Amino acid sequence: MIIPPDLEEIATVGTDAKAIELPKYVGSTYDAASRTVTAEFSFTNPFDSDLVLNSVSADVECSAHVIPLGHAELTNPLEVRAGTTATIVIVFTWTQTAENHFLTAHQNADSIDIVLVNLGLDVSGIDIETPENINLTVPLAQ
Amino acid sequence: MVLLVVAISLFTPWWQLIAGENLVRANVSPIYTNFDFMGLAFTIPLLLALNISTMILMIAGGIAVLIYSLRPSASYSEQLLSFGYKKPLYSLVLFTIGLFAMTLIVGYVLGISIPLIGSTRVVLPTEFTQGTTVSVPIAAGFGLPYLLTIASSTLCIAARLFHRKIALIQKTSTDKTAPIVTTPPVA
Repeated sequence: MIIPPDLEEIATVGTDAKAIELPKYVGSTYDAASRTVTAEFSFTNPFDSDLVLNSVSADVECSAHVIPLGHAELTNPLEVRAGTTATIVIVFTWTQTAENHFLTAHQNADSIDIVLVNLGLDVSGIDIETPENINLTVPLAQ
Repeated sequence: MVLLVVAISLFTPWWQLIAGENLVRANVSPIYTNFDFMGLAFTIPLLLALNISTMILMIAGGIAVLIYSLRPSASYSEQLLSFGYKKPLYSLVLFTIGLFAMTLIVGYVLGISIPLIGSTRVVLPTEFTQGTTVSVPIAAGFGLPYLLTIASSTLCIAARLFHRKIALIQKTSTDKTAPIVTTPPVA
């Protein structure tokens, strides 16, 4: 079958894992008073068109004990220009239950393994809901 | 009008489909078809060849009708009209059938319902998304050149239907305006 080179390029962009890199964790700050962790990720838009990240949301669970810890979401919609890198700011709000869980089950831990479930994205109007869970290790402030 | 349709069609599609917020765009017309996938614009060589062929035929048809309209009673006018009036009509009918067939085929093969007019939200089959639910807003609609083609096709058919009447009227008016040669009175 003869495939035009333009279509081949499109197929490559759509399937090549190197073309789209997952956001990289940059760092985080926390505010005990408001029970929030503000995490920053850097994301590079590999495409020739701008992307608008309208929403990102996920429920956060303790990986070891499968206890819901709270909810994380994008603070503001973000436009990532073609070929540029932008910082995605995600705010995680933990619950009182999570705080109690930290004190009882992870009292002297330096970090906690969390899992992001019910991950949902809205990228340029396209809604993506993945059944896959994302595992992260988050450092705990003592 | 056919020539106007060709000129406008080079810049404005007959039918346009947009997925997401301008993430994927299909500009479809018998004159010029192109696609834009996340900023990567491309055409399909086969479609490009068909587009060029259609454009040449439409231009030829438009010129034929234009020449016909100047001298509808001329001996060659009927042949010009017979050649020219079909071109926009055939383009319109074939384009509409092709578009309709394309949406049906996509719906049948991929299980995606693409609207010809209006907007909807399409959930991609999970076989293609590895279990992830991907919902894409899709908006589609016909553009001004499509409506102009309908108008020009109607006018071309009207010209064909009323050709004899038009030719007769023009011939009569030509006869009336012809100079009457009078002979000088005999002394």
